[in-house]
Amino acid sequence: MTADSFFLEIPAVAVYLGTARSFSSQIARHAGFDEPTVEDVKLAVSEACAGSVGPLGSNGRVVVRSSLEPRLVAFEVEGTGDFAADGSQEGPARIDLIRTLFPDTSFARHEGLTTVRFTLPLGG
Amino acid sequence: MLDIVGEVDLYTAPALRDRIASLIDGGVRRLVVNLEEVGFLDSSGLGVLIGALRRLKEHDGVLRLVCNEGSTLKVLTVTGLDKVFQIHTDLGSATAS
Repeated sequence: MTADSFFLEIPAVAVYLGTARSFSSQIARHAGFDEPTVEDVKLAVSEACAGSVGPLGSNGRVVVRSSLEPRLVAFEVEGTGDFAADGSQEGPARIDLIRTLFPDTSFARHEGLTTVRFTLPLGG
Repeated sequence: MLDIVGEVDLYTAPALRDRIASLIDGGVRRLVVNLEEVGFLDSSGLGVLIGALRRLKEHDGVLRLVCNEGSTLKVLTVTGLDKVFQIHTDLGSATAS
């Protein structure tokens, strides 16, 4: 069975975070998750994207990918951010928050790109 | 009291930070932030609230949050900040004491 795949690319600026949230929440709803889980997905994807955004005028891009596989849904966010800004905000670290929501979250840094990936099992 | 409506994220948090800062700079020491109409709150928004709490405490002030359910309360809970903030489930109790 081939997985259904979804792809969103946005400029790496904060004003587009809402677009990434809408995209990921619609996929999570389509996959049949309940609203609390949809909210968790939305928050995790938004935090992952926020880790890569810069000031208005930045020319970086953030890519959100999702795939619906037979037994799970995977979300992947790729951007140039290194989550370095985490230490400068007074709130919790974005990475910690994502991991709290989805403990299987992985972070990979390769050739200047950070990839955040987490999955949700289908069918409870 | 400060009513917040909509989404608080990396994009909107600076405006909230400025608004709270202006209130504190203007002499407000007992601040109630109503989050009941907030549909989304991320770590940037939490950072603003933590900063507000810290600044108010420096002036022997008080920060109370009104939040009764949903994703906003959950993000406060999973981060452990429900133990840091005074969270009220209704506006009446937040403004009463």
